[in-house]
Amino acid sequence: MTAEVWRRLWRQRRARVALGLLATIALAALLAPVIAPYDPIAQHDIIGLKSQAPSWSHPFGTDQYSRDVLSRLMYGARISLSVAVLAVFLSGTLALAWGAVAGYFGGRLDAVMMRIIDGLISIPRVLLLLGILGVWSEVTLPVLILLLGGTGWFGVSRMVRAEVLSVSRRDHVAAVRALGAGDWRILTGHVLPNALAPVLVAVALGVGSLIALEGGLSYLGVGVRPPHASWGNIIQDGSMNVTGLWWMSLFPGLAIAVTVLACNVVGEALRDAVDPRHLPGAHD
Amino acid sequence: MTEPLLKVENLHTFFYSENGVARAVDGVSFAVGAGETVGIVGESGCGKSVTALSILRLVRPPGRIEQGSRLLFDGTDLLGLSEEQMRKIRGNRIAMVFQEPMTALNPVFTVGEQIAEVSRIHEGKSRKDAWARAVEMLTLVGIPSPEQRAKEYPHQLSGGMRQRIVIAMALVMNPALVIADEPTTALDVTIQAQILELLSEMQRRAGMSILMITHDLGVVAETCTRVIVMYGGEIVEESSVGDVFKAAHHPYTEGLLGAMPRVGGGQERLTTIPGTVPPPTAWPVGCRFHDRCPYAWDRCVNDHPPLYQIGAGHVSRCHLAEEPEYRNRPHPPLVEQVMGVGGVAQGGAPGERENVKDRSELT
Repeated sequence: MTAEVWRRLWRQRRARVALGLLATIALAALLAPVIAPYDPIAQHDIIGLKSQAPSWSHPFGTDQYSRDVLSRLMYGARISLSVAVLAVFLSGTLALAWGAVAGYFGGRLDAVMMRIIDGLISIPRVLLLLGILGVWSEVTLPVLILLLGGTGWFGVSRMVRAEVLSVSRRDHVAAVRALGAGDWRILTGHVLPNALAPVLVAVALGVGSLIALEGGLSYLGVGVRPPHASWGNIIQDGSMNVTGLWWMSLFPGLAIAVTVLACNVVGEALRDAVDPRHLPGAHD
Repeated sequence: MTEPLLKVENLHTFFYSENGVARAVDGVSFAVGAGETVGIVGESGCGKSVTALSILRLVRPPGRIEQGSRLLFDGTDLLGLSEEQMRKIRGNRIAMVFQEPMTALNPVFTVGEQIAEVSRIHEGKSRKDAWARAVEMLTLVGIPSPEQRAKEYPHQLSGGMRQRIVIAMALVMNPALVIADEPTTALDVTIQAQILELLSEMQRRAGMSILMITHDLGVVAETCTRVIVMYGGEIVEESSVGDVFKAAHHPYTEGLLGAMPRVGGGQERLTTIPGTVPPPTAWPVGCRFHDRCPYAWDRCVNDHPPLYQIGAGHVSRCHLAEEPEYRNRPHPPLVEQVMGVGGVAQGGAPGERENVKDRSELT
């Protein structure tokens, strides 16, 4: 079934383009040590080469410490992408588990679980993160991922629950139960695959919004801490002089925008691929 | 006669809601012999589907099968089994064919995968073996180019094909009993005949019993040997198929027959049974059909009729068995009198209606 979904995803041109973009960015991040033109931390000539506009030797220019922006962008991508992907993986898993249990078993358990979500969802996420991260000076990357992932699943779990609730009342679920399937098989084999479409969309969009969120937090100086470079950090470095050193804000900003856009496109294409009825050519 | 395959005894399935207790199935007893086809007939809300779900113990909360009910299948009481043991029976010894082939199949799996899953559940077959079995089943239920079709998704198949798939899923394990819940209701008439033919053929081959739940007496006439007519959560008449069509006793059965189109019957219009099934939270105290019955007299209002023996293997829950003279005095049923529809003008001589009182007096 996964191969089939993949095939249907690949058949869509927008998905191929977006996946290609994401793959290029991911590859650049992965291969940064090999293909980056310069050491991202090296200050080559703090006087002669500082704040250079884009040129052939430094396509994206240099920052005020004479570091190559392109190289920093590539290394920053490693941090930004992995933080986003891991955090979304964490929150997606939590949302799926929580929502599936509440929606499938229903009753009092569902009521209690959803009231907990109501409570958690009422806390503004950015404020909560700012509060924690602002006070906590020793935030390592894993902790940051846990915090980002652990606060991002409340809304999605509600969506999972709603979807599971409606799918588990469908006839074909009753039918497999009548054929002798147990709760676990029904939930994982029949309910979740049918409830997955909105979750996948949410996850793909989540990667996008997490990249933006991490960028924002790092920009404010409470996200990824130096010496690690992330896209948000680089923008912050250039923020003191946006009009003068425009390349320092423009290129990481573009990187964030393109990645978020590509994630959204993949999310939508994925939704169509998971649910064959959305595809053109599906007849009834 | 040997011990029947399925013996339902005193089945009560109630639903608990804020509006009270809905007695959807209220004391139903019947038996299905090995290799026999029994029809359960009734209109929407009479409890026939809940009876079917109860046998598989698939009634979900707030519904509950009450204490004192017994479901003897092959000698064991299904109600005494654990959920784990019950799962081994579902789809394996007792299978169910659902009404809507459009929704009874999972849209995200190919039909082959769905048929294969049954043998993977019950026999732990490998993917490959289960797939081979699925293709074999598709051949058996008469699907052309089965290997190709197995790889298709439900939405790529027609309604009739889908119903064949649903039947194939039910028959994978050669069940002893197949419960078919309105298996042809959602299909075109020509396809209906094909599906019924398929079910009978499968039955001839495998020798299983079929419990056919339907509201269509035509389906019963074609497939069943015995008929159970349900109304208001109870059995109101049970007999052989021949008796029901030739000598129906209960006025409700009569009404169902009158509502059935007949070739060459010379009827200009089909008759209908006025009114609707009363809510299961408030069954009438006496006969549950009395307010819609053209023969009802005062006894029917307060005296709940038992199942009277009418003939060999023929029972009816109607006081007419004891006082047949009331059959000669038809009148507009109570619901119409209350609603003011078809009242006095059509009712015949006043003397024939004197036994029916105003509803306010009765309740």
